[in-house]
Amino acid sequence: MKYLRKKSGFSLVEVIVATAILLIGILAVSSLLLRGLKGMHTAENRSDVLHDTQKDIEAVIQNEEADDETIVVREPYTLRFENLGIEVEGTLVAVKKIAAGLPEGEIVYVTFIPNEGLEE
Amino acid sequence: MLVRNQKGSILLVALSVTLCLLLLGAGLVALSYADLKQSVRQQRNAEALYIARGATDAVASYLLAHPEAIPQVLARGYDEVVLENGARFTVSVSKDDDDRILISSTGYSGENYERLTFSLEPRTETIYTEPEVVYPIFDMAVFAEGSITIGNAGIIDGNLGTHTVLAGDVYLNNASIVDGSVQVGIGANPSRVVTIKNSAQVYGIITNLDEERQYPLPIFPEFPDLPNRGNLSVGTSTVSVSESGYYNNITVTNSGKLIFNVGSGTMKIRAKNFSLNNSSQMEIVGSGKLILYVEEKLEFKNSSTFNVNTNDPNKALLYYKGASSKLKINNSCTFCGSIYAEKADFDLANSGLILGSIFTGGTNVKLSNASMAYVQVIYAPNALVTLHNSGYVRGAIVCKEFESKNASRVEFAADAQEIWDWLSDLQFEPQEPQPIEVTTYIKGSWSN
Repeated sequence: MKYLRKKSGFSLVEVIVATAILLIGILAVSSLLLRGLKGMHTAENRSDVLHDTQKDIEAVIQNEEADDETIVVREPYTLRFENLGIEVEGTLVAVKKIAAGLPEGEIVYVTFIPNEGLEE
Repeated sequence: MLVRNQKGSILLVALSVTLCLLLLGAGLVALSYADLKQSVRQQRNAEALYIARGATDAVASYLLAHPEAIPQVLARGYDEVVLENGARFTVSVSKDDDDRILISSTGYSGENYERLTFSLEPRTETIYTEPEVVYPIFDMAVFAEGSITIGNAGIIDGNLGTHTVLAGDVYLNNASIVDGSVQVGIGANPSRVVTIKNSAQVYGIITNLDEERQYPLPIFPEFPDLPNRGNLSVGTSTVSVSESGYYNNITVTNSGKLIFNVGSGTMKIRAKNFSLNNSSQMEIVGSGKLILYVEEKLEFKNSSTFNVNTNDPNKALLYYKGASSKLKINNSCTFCGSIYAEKADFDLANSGLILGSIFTGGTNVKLSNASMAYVQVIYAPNALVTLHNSGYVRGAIVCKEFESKNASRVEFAADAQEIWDWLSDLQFEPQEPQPIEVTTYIKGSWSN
């Protein structure tokens, strides 16, 4: 007791103010951390969906089946190159992947596959 | 002093710790933002890539399927297209030093773009043309492979043509007339090839042929095996034949008449020797036609007539295989029909008359002394054809060389082409396939 009395410590005011500062700091940081983690998760999620969508559009180009969850929209299309003076018959293909975690909700890749394509 | 007096130091510690935490949090937020931005860029690039890929694929596949369009596409070189969904891309087509065709496309998605190139590799190969039957065309009064000589008031009423490129090979002399144009070999100087002398005239132009011509001989047919019917000799009487058959000798003489009742079909008569002599007649009765195959000796003499009763050259076709003697129609003989002599020379003389066509593989054809040929064609691509002493041809002549003199005349008539439906009777060998070097393109590879 004597020893404790002799040592000078932090006053109550100091402790309360310091604690308040730390609490404010921790709250701010945790908000930033949450935001950062969410952003990283979204980016990772987007990358995964992009990768899957890319895999699906490659499969469609190779005339193979896309993933069951992927929406493939095919529309007969005539691609006109007016200056080159040629018209190419084929299919305009949109490959859509629903991605609930992304702000836009889906990823869509569009390509044109000619009837007598290079992959034939 | 600060160390000794520790009052308020906890505030500093708290502030420092808070600042560190804030920096850490801000760093994490920046990192995640960069990740997000990267993934969005990745998405845009992929969108642009597949737009570019579709465009490249379209042009490359089109050029592979339509190689005839390559020169035009290369000449135009560039295009920019906006699809209905707003996607935009540009395409450029060029050829590199290795003759490869490079098809480059740039796809756009927002501010991002991706460029892809696909190459078409050249491959030179030798292909052979399809065996093709080339039918000769008869659109000139005279077409000769080599020289043409017209003299002594000879008249050519129509065009003259020749493959020759040699100086003076077309020689017009002594008031001869060409009422038409003269066409000489490709690449030759027409004014050097054609010599016009002593009041000779060409009313048309003198120029070069548009293209080389081919005049092959038709296929000479194998003679058919027919029932042997011995000899047939007709003299001062009328004999009728109603069936096809093989005869050793067929002789008609002394105003005798031989009638072939051909019915409605085709009668085939094969004979080793065939002779019409001394005002004898050969007649064809029926709506069909007669094909006569003669192996060795063939004579038409002294005012004899062949198929004059029908006056239709389509009703009689004569194949003559013999080569030892000339095939002669002279001394006022009249022949109505068409003749194909495998090797024999041909002589139409002394008011001899033929209505039909003459095909021969012989080397000499002579029309002279007021003889007349109303023909679709005198087709003798191996022969020197000579007209003299008022020999007259109404129709076309195809020969190796041509000579006309002493008031002879060739009158080309377009309607003469209808004299004989020869394509239904004669066959031509298909041409040998010709090698042609062509450059085709095959799929190459993708590059960025």
